[in-house]
Amino acid sequence: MAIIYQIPTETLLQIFRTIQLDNRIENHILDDQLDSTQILFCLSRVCRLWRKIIWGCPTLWSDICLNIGRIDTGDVSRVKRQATGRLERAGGVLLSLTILFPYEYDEERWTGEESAEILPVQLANIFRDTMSRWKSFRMHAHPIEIQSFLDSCTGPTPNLSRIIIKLRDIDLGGIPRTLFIPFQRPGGVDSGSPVVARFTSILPIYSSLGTSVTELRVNVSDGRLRTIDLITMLLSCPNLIEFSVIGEPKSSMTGDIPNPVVVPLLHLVQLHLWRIRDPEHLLGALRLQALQSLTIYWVHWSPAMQDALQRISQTCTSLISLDIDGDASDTTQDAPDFLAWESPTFPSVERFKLQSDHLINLCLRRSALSLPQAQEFALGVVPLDIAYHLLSSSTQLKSLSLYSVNADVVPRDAPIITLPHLLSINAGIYFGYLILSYITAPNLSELLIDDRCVLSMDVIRDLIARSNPPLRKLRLYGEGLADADVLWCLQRLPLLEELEIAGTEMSDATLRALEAPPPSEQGDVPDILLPQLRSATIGQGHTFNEHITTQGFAALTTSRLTVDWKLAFNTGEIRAWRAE
Amino acid sequence: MVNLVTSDNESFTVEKAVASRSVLIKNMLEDVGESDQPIPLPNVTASVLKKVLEYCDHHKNEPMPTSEDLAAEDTRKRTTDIGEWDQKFIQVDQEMLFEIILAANYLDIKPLLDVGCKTVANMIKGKTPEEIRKLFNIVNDFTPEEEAQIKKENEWAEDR
Repeated sequence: MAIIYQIPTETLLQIFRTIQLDNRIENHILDDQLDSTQILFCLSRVCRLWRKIIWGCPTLWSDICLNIGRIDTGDVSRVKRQATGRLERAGGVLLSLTILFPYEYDEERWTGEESAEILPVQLANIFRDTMSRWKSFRMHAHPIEIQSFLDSCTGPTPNLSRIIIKLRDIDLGGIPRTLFIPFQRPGGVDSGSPVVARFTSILPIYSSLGTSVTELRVNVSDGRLRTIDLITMLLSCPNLIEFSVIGEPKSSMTGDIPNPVVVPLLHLVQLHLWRIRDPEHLLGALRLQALQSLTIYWVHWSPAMQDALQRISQTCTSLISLDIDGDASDTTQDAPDFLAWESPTFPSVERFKLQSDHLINLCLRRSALSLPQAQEFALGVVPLDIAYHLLSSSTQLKSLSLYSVNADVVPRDAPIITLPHLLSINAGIYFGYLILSYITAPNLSELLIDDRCVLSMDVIRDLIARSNPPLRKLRLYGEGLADADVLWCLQRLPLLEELEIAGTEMSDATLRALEAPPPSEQGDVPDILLPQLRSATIGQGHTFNEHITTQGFAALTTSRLTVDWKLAFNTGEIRAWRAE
Repeated sequence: MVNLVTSDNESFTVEKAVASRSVLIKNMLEDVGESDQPIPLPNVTASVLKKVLEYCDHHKNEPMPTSEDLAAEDTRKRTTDIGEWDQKFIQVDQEMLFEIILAANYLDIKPLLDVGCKTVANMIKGKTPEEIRKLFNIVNDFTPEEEAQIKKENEWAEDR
């Protein structure tokens, strides 16, 4: 007997369930693959035992997916037969219901021969009685199809924990901005599972289920987003913990609201506003006592935005993460007349990420932002003077990441900032490393410099000489990096465990310096450079370096077998071989 | 230390932290308290237990999965993803693979059972019924009439 027959039924079911779920995850974008029925049919044709197990387990059939686009279009009775058959197979267990209408909407298509009702209504009539068993509901359809279905599906959904609705074949001129979700949770927020919801191209307005919605993501990229609609939506789900809205970069202007409205989201912890150019109107209405993380991506900076952030800085005392991303495409030189941003201090923020732009830089230059508790900075597209001011007010910093630094304005006679807690510096492309001229980091353990330009090694040497850091990891990538520079650094960093170096002017001289010399005739083991080294990568990607030879690398690796060596340069030999 | 005795009467002395990755053994140890008595494992042979203990030793410092962890096994990550070390560990012949699954099930080591099930799931994925039968040496025990009936059912169920 095959050994697989010894596997208990429960374990076999686990295997079948794994295959079924994995298929959905791998292919979750494609409608065709949301239906796992075909996998179950395939498995049930292997042998009698498997067939008995699969057909005897309703939970395997509880993911009901009606991909109507695959059924012969216009055959209403066939669609209904599938819906009924799948419900029967699922018995009385909790259901995950997915209904996918064809990509193109055709008003005439679904008018049944035997009924005057359109297909969405007929499907709603079939599924409505099972609403109390819905665990998950997903529908991809035209707004009319969705609305028709939902209008016929009013009722309690005590087990619902996931809603995904995606609009299809949208006529931009005619779509409604909001969709009423008639699902109910009569017992309120404590009477069932929290609900995670995802909506594409439309904003939901909830019935009583809204009090149970804790996570909401809406993707509205058609440019018809209005602040008043966002507010109406948020008022219907007051217990949100996470909320994100994604607009379209150029056209998602939500606009002001005629009358002041207050939207208390007292449990909201994470707020992500992506590609909304004027989020200040929405931010002005929200009351966010519990907010911990705020992301504003692709914002068009304005005095009103400044005011909105000012209020958040004063009222959101638990805010620990602030991520602001400017509008890099906005090249306008006519800045609005900024009022001074009075005392822009975020006293509780620990993580601050800024990808700046022309207007934000203008504002920050006039009103120095202060983040006294910051432990992590990631700064991009900022002038050196602004980076300097931010660092000087954040002496608790542990991690600093910088790239694309505009070095036109250099602080004159600026004192060196001591950052006693700084453990990691990651200076990316385009002069991120220049800030190193202005800091001392006596406890630095990780220094990663990856610039595409010619490195000014004086800056790096000065930092090391000034800080004498207990560095464990060093990455030095840059044009023109030569043996003398590398060796100067390595001789002063005896605690290094991880090393990544790549310079076009480096040669075998660096490799020879890293070799372990043979023991003396008296048996004494001589000192070696970087005695604690565990791993080292010489070179970067496919960069060419004719001064490093494979013989030199081989001699190095054989002399120090305890180090994990990698050679990532194309060497002279490889070039010669290619030339032949 | 804990002394485990296999069905083929071989003894293994292992750290308590290693043996306790098995919920079955952990519960037994809690029931008997401090004792030098060997723990018999009548459903596990020495060759399989050796392999199972290798897994338990590697994962001994990881937190035990909680009921919340098990409930959280949802659609957020690919269900057949297996860690690098586990992948190498489970590269064994088919008989040993199923022996490990049986042992993990008996000893109640959920993470090891998951690795085994994911591995078998990966072996099955994308194969036809005939290929699956061949892979696991399963006999096609359907009669021609049953085959015809299944085909008809499937056509009805797919209903395209």
